[in-house]
Amino acid sequence: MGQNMEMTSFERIEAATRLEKPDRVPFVPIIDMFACRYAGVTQHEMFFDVGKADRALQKTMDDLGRIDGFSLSYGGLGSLLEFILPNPPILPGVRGTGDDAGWMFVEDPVMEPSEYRDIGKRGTIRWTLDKTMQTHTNLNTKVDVLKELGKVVRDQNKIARSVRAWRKKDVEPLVAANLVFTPMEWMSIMLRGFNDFTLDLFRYPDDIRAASAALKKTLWWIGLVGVKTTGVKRVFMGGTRTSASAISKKQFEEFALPEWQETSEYFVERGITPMLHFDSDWTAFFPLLKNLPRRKCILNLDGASDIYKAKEILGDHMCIMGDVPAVLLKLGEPGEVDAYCERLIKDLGSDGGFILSSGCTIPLDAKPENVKAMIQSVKKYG
Amino acid sequence: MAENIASLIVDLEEEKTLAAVRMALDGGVEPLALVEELREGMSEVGRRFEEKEYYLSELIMSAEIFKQAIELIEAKLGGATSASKGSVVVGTVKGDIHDIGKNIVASLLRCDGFAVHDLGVDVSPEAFVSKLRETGAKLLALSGLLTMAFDAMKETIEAVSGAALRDSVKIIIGGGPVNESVVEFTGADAYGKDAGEAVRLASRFLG
Repeated sequence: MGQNMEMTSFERIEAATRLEKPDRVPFVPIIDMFACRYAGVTQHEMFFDVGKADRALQKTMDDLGRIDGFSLSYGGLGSLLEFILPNPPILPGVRGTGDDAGWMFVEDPVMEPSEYRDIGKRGTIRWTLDKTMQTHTNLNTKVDVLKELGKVVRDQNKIARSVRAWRKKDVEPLVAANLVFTPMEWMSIMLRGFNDFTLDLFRYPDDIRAASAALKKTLWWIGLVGVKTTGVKRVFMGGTRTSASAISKKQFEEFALPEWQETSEYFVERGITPMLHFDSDWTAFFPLLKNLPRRKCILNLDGASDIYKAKEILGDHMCIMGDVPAVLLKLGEPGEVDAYCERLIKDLGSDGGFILSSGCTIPLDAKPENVKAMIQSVKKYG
Repeated sequence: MAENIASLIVDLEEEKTLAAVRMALDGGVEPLALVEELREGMSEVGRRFEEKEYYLSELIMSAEIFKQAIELIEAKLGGATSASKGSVVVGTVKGDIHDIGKNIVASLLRCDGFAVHDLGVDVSPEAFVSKLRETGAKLLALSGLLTMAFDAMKETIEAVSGAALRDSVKIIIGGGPVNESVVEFTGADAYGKDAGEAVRLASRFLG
């Protein structure tokens, strides 16, 4: 593809991922929460009906402008989140939550520190299933589990069809529903909660290492199943609890970095691109991320990290993606959004290796005119 | 012994700190002197956090050690350790259940000698107002992670104004995305970009 020819969205994103210069900077936000609110589809419908989520995104693009792709999509993801998370999450329209409310993880500890070593002893899948049946009131028998699993498979297949339909329209689902947690992130968010897990790191380091070793392959396997189901050869690897906002550099090097490295390598070896969706501030750890595979990962920042430092330190190592802040999209004006995007595109995207995105999710209460300004910016400055 | 306790907590030596506190109490060391030493240690931890030598996990661990040490001392004293630096009402606003930041701020405020009234998460404006009235607290600390929480913060601050308490109560806000523009939007007095800054703001407003 020559420099002057217009690329497809897929080609544009792939070129940026390889640190090459595409025909223009691609724009790939997390948009479906906003799109559904904008198009009059409830958040509940979005989580449980990918078709409605897709129609909402189409209307949003028709009104506000085309996007090259969308990053993590929540469309149709409700049944998976209900089933896979040890603590059933707060989901709109579920267990008394309003139909148009936001969603949240619930972080009540589901295990005691004495159980870290049980994960390996029992076997990760069996141990997780035991826990899931304890914490989910609707899962009392194995038949219940199979029924819920059936719903997950049904919805994942719908997501796979949605992915294919978007690709035909030249809109690239960046990571679809291909979710991967590293063991540390999983333990902190899903099993122990942030505060208890932080204390455990000081008190039971060897037990955490043992649990990490036991969990990792199952967590990788979940991501691999997502890739095989959707056909999208990228995975969403979410990070926040192992950021510099949470743990020390020493703890990062000792516990987290080996996991990030090993998990990334696992997927890269299989031709799959890790999309490191890093919320919170990772700036102090940027030099250490050079240990991850070169020219094979996307580093997606949310506005809390210094994205300019990321470009300076990691620009020749991984594609940088980000980071229009949620606050700006809700409280700012279109001119401010335009100026923010222009600066990112010119400073970080002029030599390639950059994808413009929202910092984490476009808030569902963002101003439509701000979202429009963000969409238009890549055509104006990219 | 007391000097040793301060450095032990700075070094995050949980068992050694608690053992040293027990030994000091058994040896007849004045409990309030021990509290002062523990606070000195916490103050050094806070300095290191501010200087980016320590990270949040170290702040959390030190606060946990401090809390346990204070419990030992209070058990010996049979009551609270010292006069409060002032009362603070704390909570995550309506519609948001994120509590990590709020809990850390509450914990550090307690370590620093404030009386903290933590209302938990998803707290209605009415509940905040009611607690301010009940306690006479002069500082309200509102937390929220979602952008939707900004509206709830604004609503809460309007409720405080509606209850004719705004002139006597300072209001600080915090949470992942909160910045100066959110202060302006909500009508708060200030925001803390991290837990350490929230405690400094509390000292400034109640000092």
